[in-house]
Parts: sequence; structure tokens; C-alpha cells
Amino acid sequence: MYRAARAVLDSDADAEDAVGQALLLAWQARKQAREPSAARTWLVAITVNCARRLRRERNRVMSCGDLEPILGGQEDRHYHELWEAVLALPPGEREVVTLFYYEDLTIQQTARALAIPAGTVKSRLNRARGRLREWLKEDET
Amino acid sequence: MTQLDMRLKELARGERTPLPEGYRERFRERLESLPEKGLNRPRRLAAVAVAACLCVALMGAAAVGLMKVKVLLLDPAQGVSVQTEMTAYPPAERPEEFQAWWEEADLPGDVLTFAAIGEAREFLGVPLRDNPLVEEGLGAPLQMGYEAGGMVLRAEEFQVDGMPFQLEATVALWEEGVPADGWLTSGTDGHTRYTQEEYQMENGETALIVTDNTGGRYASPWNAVDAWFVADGVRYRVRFGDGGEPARYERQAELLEQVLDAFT
Repeated sequence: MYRAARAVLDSDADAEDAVGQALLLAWQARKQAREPSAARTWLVAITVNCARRLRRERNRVMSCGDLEPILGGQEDRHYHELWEAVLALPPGEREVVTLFYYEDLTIQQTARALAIPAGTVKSRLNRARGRLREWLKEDET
Repeated sequence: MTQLDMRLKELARGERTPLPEGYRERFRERLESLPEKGLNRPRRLAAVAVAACLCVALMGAAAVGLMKVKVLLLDPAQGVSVQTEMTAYPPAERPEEFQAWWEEADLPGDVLTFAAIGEAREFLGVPLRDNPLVEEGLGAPLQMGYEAGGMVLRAEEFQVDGMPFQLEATVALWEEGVPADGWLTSGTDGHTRYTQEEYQMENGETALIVTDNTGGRYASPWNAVDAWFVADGVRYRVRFGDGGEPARYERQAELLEQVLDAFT
């Protein structure tokens, strides 16, 4: 849940808040969870929704850290872990990558959890793959 | 699945996502504090154990002329009661006169500040963002009210059941209906909405009761229950904080219900 929230939000603290909110919502709506096999996707979807709502609220305030990508300085950064590289992806790509690679959801499940068409998931994944391919090359060198 | 996909999945599985410090403990606490039941059952308290809470609500539009002020007293023995009702100058128009009246009125309780939106900065003497009250979490609703347009007043800390308990009454004169979902969280202080329920008031209006964690994951005095409701055509917001005890949501909701009942 934390990872899914963090993929949407730009700070650990916000991600934790979103998880807390998602936890309570899921608890209250637990009877709506249709089948155990889909519970994971359902929980991820709730978390993503909570995180997105929080992101909309947070968009009004920009922290100094958010300015970095705008002002430059990203180019020289080297990511030691895949997760660091994922967090540097644009938000839309970050979400699909996290759900597809980390949460092991299928394209369809990712689309459902993010409430976007499967085609959008694929195109975002493609773009993200391009960026991550570069990262992998750098990492190997 | 492509080679690249396989490689990325393999890397993702092999990685441990770094969690914030103390995350697991806080997550466990959250799990343990999940309510057994929701807040969807309007209930009456058998006895009110509020030592001395004061809820002040302003009634009447602040456009012109005098306005009515209704004071609700939450008393341990008697529950919520309407303490007094009187008129005052609309603070937005004549803040100095209103403040003078307010002081002279000698209302029960510890009402510290009354501020008409638009005059809030002047009343507090310092910009809202720099006000220490904001740092304590008390100023956040002030700021939200400021953004929403309306009037705000604030009450001080009380003891309830031997615990610190805070009550805040915010009155906003919305032009439209009960604020839509998201208004509460439109503040800038990290609010997270937890639950939302509708409460049918005896005057036929519907109140909206919301729990939120104003202070986020921190032990904030403002893990709060709010209510928006309508009386005499004016929309109100009343807030109960819990003194840093999030498990007290139900208790806060009970108190809110009493306030709502007293209004109708």
C-alpha cells in the first residue's frame, strides 16, 4: 500500500497519510470486496484513489524539492536502486510501473486500479521502459 | 513479456522499498485503532462528561445590521444547552465595536478570539501563517475558514474525562450548500478525511459529520470530528479535537450530535 501511494505522491509523509486513509476506507467498505483473489487489486485501487485525492490537494503548494526537476540538476543524478529511478519518472509512468512491476498486477488490473484504459497503461509502460532501459544501461556501466 | 520486463520485474522483486522510519509501528497502530463500527448511528449520550466546553455559533447573515449570537454550553450535568442569545454588530463591518461587545458580554467559557474573515489578520495581530496557533494546529481551521469566506471563532482547550480536549467552532457563511467533498481537505495543513456521515437534524436539514486527522500521522490535538450543518439559513461548521487521541472519534461524534440537537 505504501509503495502504491508513494508512486502517486511526492513525499513519504503524504504517502503514509494516504495509506492511513485507505486503510480506514477499506475497513469500512470491506464487505464490498468481492472475492479474495481480487482483494489485492481492490486495496491498491483504494490506496491509489486516496493518494490521488491527496495529490490534488497538495498541488496547491510546491515544496522546494519539487522545484529541482524544473530547475535542473536531475541529469547528473545516479540511481542506485530501481525504486529510486522509478520515483524519478513522471507521475503517470511512475504509477503504472509501480503497479505493474512491483505490485505484479497485470495490464488489465493496473488499468482497473488506476481507472485508466488498458491502452494508456501500455503506452505509459512503453515510455517508462525507454527511460528505465537507459537507467539499466547506466547501472550496468 | 520482454527481456526488459523480466529484468525489471526481477529487480523490483529483489528490492526492498525503503519505508519511512517508524512506518511499521504506525501502520500497526492504525490497524489496531480501526473502529469496530462506523459512525453512522446517531446516538444520544447517557451523560455528558464535558467539564466545560463552550460552543459559540453566530447566527444571521453578516451583511448589514445586527446579528444574533447563540451560545451553546456543554455542561457535564445538563448536557448541551443554549446559554444565551443576543445581538451584536456584524464583525466584518465593525470589528472594533464587535470586539468591545464581545468582551463586555462576558460569555461563559474561554473564548479567546473572534475574528471576522477579512479581519482575521488584524485580530490576531500577526499573519496567520506565522501565528504560533497555526504551529499548534489550532490555526488551521482559522486558515481554512479564511480561505472559504465566512466567519471564524475559536475556543480554548478543555478537560474532558481527564483528557485534554479542544473544541473549536468555526462559522462560515457559505453561499452554497453544505461544502462539497474535499472542502475540508482544501486546507493546507495536511488534513485527511476519514469518514463522512449525514445526520438528519430535527429542523429537516442535513448535517454532515466528518472525521479527519488534521495533524496527519502526528499526535496532534486536532484529530478531529467536524460537522457542517444549517440553521436559520446559515451554514455552520463545528469542530471537536481529541487532544491527540484518535480513538476518540466516536466520543467526538456524540458531542457533535448534542450540539446539532441543541441547535434545532
